[in-house]
Amino acid sequence: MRRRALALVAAVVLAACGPDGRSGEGPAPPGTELVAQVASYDLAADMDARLMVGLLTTENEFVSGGTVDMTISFLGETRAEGRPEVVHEVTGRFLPLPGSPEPKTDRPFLGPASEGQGVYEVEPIRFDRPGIYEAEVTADLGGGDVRSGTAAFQVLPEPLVPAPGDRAPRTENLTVASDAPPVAVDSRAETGGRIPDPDLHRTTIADAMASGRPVLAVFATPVYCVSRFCGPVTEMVEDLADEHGGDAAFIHVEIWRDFQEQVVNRAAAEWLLHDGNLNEPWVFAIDADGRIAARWDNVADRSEIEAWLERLA
Amino acid sequence: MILRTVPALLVVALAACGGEPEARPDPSPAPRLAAALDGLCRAVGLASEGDVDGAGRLFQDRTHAYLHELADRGSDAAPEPTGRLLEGKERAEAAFAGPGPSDPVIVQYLVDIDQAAREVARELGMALPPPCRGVVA
Repeated sequence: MRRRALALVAAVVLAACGPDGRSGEGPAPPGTELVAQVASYDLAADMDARLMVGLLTTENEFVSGGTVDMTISFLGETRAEGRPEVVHEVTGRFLPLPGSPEPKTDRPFLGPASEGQGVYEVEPIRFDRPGIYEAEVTADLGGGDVRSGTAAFQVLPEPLVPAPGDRAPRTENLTVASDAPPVAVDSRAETGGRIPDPDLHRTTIADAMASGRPVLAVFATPVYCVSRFCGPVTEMVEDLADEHGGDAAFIHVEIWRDFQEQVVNRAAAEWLLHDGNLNEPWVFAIDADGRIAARWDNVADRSEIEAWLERLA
Repeated sequence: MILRTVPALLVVALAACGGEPEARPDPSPAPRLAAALDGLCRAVGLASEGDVDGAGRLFQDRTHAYLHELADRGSDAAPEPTGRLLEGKERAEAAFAGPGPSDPVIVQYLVDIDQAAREVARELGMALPPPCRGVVA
């Protein structure tokens, strides 16, 4: 397992070092004026996947709304080699970040975060082999202003994180009754002095599964989030708990036991930590039979979660 | 426990393509870092003048997203300032969201974020833009 992780890193390094030596931080070369960031986690071959790409400028403005064109190319099994092989030409639809304003137009536009934030999503998409891929994303902003950006990503041989159909780990996550610092139960206790969503910390995944209840579990660290989506996704699950609390157990699992010491909570590690790598936020829907019905990485789609909850009602 | 994220590795990998920033630092600040800190500086100015709403908008629009990316890159190399950066960001956002601390306290939150962000960027070998004139270190 560790060897695979190291190979992953090496492959991404090699793939990223293309002929233009483009950096995620440096100025975009002519013709690729956008910074593209793949927001998907745990993409794996031979399964339905969600490919999400965020688009922004070097001035930290976001592209929001409408659809974009995506050309997905296979670059190589372990490194970029030979000519890129186009494997998908698809359309990405805008998926707003929960709580973000609805896009003001039906076509992509450039604007500050307060006018819309989100990612462009292709779902479902399948990759027939593992390897290093590249997404070239083109946004027509109107008036002849067409911009594009590229981002490399990896497709694994198999998912590392529990996937639909798998049995959910019977995890004893921390709750408000646990003998643990409040900040280990919810990182927002660090700055707010209290746990803001205690109802999401009243039971464990193991206990809810033992009682035969479906579970909606969000794994997120709202304060120590490095993806910028954790807080909004956690708040969305809080909202859903208010609306659908009778249909399932709603549980928030905090990632960090101690961020400064880089200690991860055991419950988060059981689900998400592999070879020192952990991505969040994640939302998992667990059916009453204890199997994972669906999962949403990073930018969860509220409408899809609501559809699952309504099937339970 | 050392915790790394795949995106962090990717960003580091991409940054390395330009020529190992720690070995050969780019003399000019990365544009997105510069834009984020410029927005933060202007937010300090607005909050100092009592325009907390304007400061909050500017912070959200110009700075917020990049701070997460900086934290992603810094969480391994510099967990202490990265932790302060993210905690400061959370405090500032809570203050912007509702009635709470006085304007000078919010200014101090933003100043703390600026300092933590610069520490993280420095640890990562990134060239820094000039200090914000409104920030008293």
